[in-house]
Amino acid sequence: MGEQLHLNVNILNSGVFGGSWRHPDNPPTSAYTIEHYTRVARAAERAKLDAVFLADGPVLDGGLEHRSGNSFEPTVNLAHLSGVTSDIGLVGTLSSSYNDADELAHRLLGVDHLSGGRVGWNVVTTAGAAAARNFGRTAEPAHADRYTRAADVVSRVVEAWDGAADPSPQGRPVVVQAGGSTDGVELAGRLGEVIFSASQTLEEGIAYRARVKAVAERHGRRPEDVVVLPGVSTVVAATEEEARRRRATLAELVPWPYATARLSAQLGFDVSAHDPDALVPLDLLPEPDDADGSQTFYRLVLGIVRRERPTFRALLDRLGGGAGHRIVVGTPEQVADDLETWFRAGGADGFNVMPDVLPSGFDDFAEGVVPVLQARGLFRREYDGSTLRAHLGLPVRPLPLTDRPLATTW
Amino acid sequence: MSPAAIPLLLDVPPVRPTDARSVLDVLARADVAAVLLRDGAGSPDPAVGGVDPSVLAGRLTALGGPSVVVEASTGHHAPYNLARRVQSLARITGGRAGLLLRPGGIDPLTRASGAVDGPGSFAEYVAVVRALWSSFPAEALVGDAASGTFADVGLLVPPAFEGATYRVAGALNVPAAADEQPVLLVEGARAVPTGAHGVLVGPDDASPEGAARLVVVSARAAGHGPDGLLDAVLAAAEQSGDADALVVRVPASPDSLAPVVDHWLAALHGAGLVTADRDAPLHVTLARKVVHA
Repeated sequence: MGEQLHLNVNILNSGVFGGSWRHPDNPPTSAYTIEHYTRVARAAERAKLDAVFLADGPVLDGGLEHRSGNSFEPTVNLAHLSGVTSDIGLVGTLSSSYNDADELAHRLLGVDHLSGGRVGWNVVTTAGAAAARNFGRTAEPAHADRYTRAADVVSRVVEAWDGAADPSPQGRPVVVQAGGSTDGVELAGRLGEVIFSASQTLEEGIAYRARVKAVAERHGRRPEDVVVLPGVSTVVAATEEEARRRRATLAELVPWPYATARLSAQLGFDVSAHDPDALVPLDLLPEPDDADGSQTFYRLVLGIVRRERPTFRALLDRLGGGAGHRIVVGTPEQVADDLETWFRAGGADGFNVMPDVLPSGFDDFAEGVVPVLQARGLFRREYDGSTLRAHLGLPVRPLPLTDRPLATTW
Repeated sequence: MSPAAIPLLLDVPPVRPTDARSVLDVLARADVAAVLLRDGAGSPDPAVGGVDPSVLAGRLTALGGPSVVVEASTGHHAPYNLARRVQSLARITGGRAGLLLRPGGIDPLTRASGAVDGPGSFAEYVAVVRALWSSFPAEALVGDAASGTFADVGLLVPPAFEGATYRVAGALNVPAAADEQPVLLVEGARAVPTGAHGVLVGPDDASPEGAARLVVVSARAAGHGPDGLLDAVLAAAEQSGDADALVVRVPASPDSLAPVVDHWLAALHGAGLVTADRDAPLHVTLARKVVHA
């Protein structure tokens, strides 16, 4: 753990809650304008954040009827943002399942050059039949196959970057990875330089971070060369009471059909067929490694159900129509206290901040929480370098790459 | 504009990564109808590979540049990914984006799905891209906070394309720009696929049926200094009286490009030869023969 923590803002379209887009602070469809991303990126740069981050999948979000989704293709979006910012890191998600390794390496390296070495690539495997059907397939590939391909694609991309005629201004774009499954932790520890994680409790956070760093060491890497950033949703207001009210409003704004459909997809059974005030039955929930789809968020929700034994209604309120990242509610001081506790206890090297509503909720974080962290010496006041790798304190080191050929069947 | 005035597209060769920022800074001030960003992917010389055109275009949109047309080969991009990047550019620019699609076989992802290249693959690719561009109409984005309806999903038009080569369900997750879809261009007058909005042709080639005619001015002539460029454009304009636009090859190194943009273009405008409404959607610019489908 370094002396200062790292901060990244996830520009998750309108905000992390299912009803963020309905919040009166912002125009409902602003996430479908480029100005939305420009505004957050510039605010994040003023606050000296390490990077902005764009989640993505090459598919129309299934819940679009009731909430905003991801839209602009990330490399186009980040290339645009490279022209309106000068220092902040630019991290984009590109699917390892539905991009060709050589083409992806070439395209991302181009953005890296345009930005002067500020690019990170968040490697994700893309779950779901809907995405598969956009690429000539009828069903999603099995979980293990997605991860085998991801490892192969990362290897090929990194090799292409290291062998490029015009090398990256930062030595190599930063490889970012997320994944709570057993396969995901293995990939993160072996190839990830920044790890986006999802932990509800500090104990889980400490254990996850230790696990990833242990895998990294097993592959001959230094633990400090892996930066673990748990996702944290923030609801910030001037007073605690105001923050609680804001949190309650956000729970109310989640369109109910969306919330139940999303939870049904996460849990693997139809939630709407159950009495909302009945306890969520444990016997319907399989072990995480036996579940398909995104195991990271299934684990989170399973953890909440086991610890808190909520009713369906209470669980839906708790999740707020989000995926299940930890939600911190309070004044700037209180939120900073929470982040500091996690950082000092070894639960995090920093955070992937997911504001409650965008863009206004990020202003609350940047203008409220960041100055408190700076005053405590926990966060930079100025950029020391001009590349993402410099912000993260990550040297370029060889990654333990696969020697297996890319599976020819995919 | 004078009756003879004609829209001009700058034809920019693959741009080296180390030159890219300077080149884009110059292109941003080009008073032309559009810049056509060529793709060097697949070149045997890695130094000529150039930055991906959609990425160059993405940055150019932040610099207030003219309309963008990106070149791409069917052999390097799955149709969903390519259609989405161009739709993103169109959405960002309000319809000032286009794609010059080159036939190049099928891409690795499509091939891995079990598909095989065939004589109709290029036409299918064009059809898929066009269908994806109209799959998420702007008006489907409702954002009705009171009722909790974010999108009117009944207005989505997923292509559900099932061809001999390509199978693409859709819809795109990027809505169309409010008024205009991107334009789709192809090169060469022979075998123009249905759905192409415009065709790049030589001065002697016949006009394609139902598509705009973009006449490529000889790169060699254009390379002979300001007078050479003026003469070449003048000759091309006279020779191709029914051209909808002229396409002029320019250098991709910043030092050579700057004089073209700063001096030669001014001379062309001064002579009343070319016109450029940088804010007009490309469909409008090429409107004379574009068939809206």
